[in-house]
Amino acid sequence: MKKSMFIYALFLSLFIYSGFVAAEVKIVAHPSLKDASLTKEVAAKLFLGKVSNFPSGTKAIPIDQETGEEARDEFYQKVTNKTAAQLKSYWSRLIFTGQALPNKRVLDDDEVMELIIANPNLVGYVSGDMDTTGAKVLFSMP
Amino acid sequence: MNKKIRFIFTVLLLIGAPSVFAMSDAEIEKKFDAYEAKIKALEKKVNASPASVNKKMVKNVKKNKKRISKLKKLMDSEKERFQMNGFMTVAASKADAELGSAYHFNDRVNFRGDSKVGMQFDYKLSEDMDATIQLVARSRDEDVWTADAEWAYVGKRFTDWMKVRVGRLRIPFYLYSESLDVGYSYPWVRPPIDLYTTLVTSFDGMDVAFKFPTGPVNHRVQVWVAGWTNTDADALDDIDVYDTRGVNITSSWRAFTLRLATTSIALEGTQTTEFYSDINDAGLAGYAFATGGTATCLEPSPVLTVIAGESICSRWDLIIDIDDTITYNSLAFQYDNGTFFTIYEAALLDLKEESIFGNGRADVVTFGYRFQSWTPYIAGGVTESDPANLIPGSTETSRRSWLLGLQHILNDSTSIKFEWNHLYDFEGTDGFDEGALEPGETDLDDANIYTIAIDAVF
Repeated sequence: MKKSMFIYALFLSLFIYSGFVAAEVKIVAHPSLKDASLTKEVAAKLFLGKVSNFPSGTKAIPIDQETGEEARDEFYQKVTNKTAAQLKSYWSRLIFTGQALPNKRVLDDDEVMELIIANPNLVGYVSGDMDTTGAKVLFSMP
Repeated sequence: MNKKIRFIFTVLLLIGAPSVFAMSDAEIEKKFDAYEAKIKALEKKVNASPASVNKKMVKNVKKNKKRISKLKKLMDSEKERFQMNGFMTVAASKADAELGSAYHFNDRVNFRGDSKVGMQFDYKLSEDMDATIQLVARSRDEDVWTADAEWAYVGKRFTDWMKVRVGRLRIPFYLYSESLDVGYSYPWVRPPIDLYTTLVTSFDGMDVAFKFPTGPVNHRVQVWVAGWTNTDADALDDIDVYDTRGVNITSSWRAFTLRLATTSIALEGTQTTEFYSDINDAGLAGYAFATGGTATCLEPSPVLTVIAGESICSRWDLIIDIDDTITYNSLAFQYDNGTFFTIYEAALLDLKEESIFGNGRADVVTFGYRFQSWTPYIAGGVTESDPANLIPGSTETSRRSWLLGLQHILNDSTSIKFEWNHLYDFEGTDGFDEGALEPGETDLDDANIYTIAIDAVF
């Protein structure tokens, strides 16, 4: 009796734990992209305008979601460790010293998916529970 | 199949079979009619719902198609050629006394020192060429806000790692020199005046920027040369600034940034300084000889007229020729892990002739900590300079300062900063007074500047 209770508890805890392990942010791109995945560092560099190509050499065009979207705040906090205000400060320095221009912006998860599927150079982020069929998931983080 | 099941099956068959044969033709026909009616009714239902469902779906599909095509247009806008960005600072400051620096600090609350607004227009000329113009209007420039082009250039990206810009660019003396007017891009109300008050601010010429990594460290090297330089200070009205060039490298790894820069500026022209002390003819001649310039009496003394046969002058000026080269060498180190940050920046001013100023040195260190939307910060600085060879009575000067500030993020594009800057330990003339080139000591023992500034980017 005790043994089966223990096993039951184990499975239950795994089940509960797996609920929390669901990815909260995913980076998606066109399925034809040569890269299989991205590291957190490379992802941060792409979205902060520090590099403009994927590791495989293909040109990368990052797209952001609108300010205020939860996926956007989650993504930048988790991958670049910057709050919305810090991000704005970072970009204002680059924009006003002529070093870079901000990423293209779209509305939300749905629009990111629509565009990713249609353009092989785009890379964007969506919430963890977004349906990503049709696109390639390059990075996910709980 | 076991015997029991087989038996039941046979019995059922025998029972059921006769019932089929028991139905007459009329009954079968009736049954068919009923089924036909049922099918018709179902068909109707099936056709009816798709129509209403269809309408909704069609509308949605249309809407989505429109959105996709609009976005595709936006997308095929690598061709989105035009972008506009702006920044603005509204700041009120008050000092204990009249501190005639370029910031117009005085003992009344005034908005002139730090308020400004900037607009930047970026236009993509082609895949690898762009044009940028940044107009900044500052309240401290004149009584009327006039917009000046701080940046106006055409840039071309030749390779992934190299870009050239030609036009008007800001002189990249120090870490935050290029974004000097964008309050939102740095932690203080204004970049520390111990370091960031330079006579020239932008140049017309070209720069080449190289970006490359060495392992995990990213580097950016900038080499620039000017055809002509734009000055901010009235003091340089009769002086040509030429032969301006520099090189700098910024390296970053994780939360660390290191920047080394050198800038060289040549000055040529005449410098006129007015003095209000009593001097006799021999004195005037002495200064003229020592400086190689000309000393002229503007106003003879009304009180002391003749002593030992010489006339006394109470207001006079000295005109000297300037031919000097200033080199600014700076080093900046920054650590910022998102919560805690520290910045140390130092600059050495080296003058070849030490004519209108002497060599100088300035150091500033800053610490800050971010708690949610509040960021307190503290900084300390020291600035020193040697005497100027051509200015009579010029002495060594030095000044220390510390500042305490608090920034509060109002939303992701606006913040408000409260800052108290305390300047003390003045030696010699503190470089603040408009008449700082006059011999003698400053009256002040220390000074305070209080500022509230709101910065926004849009």
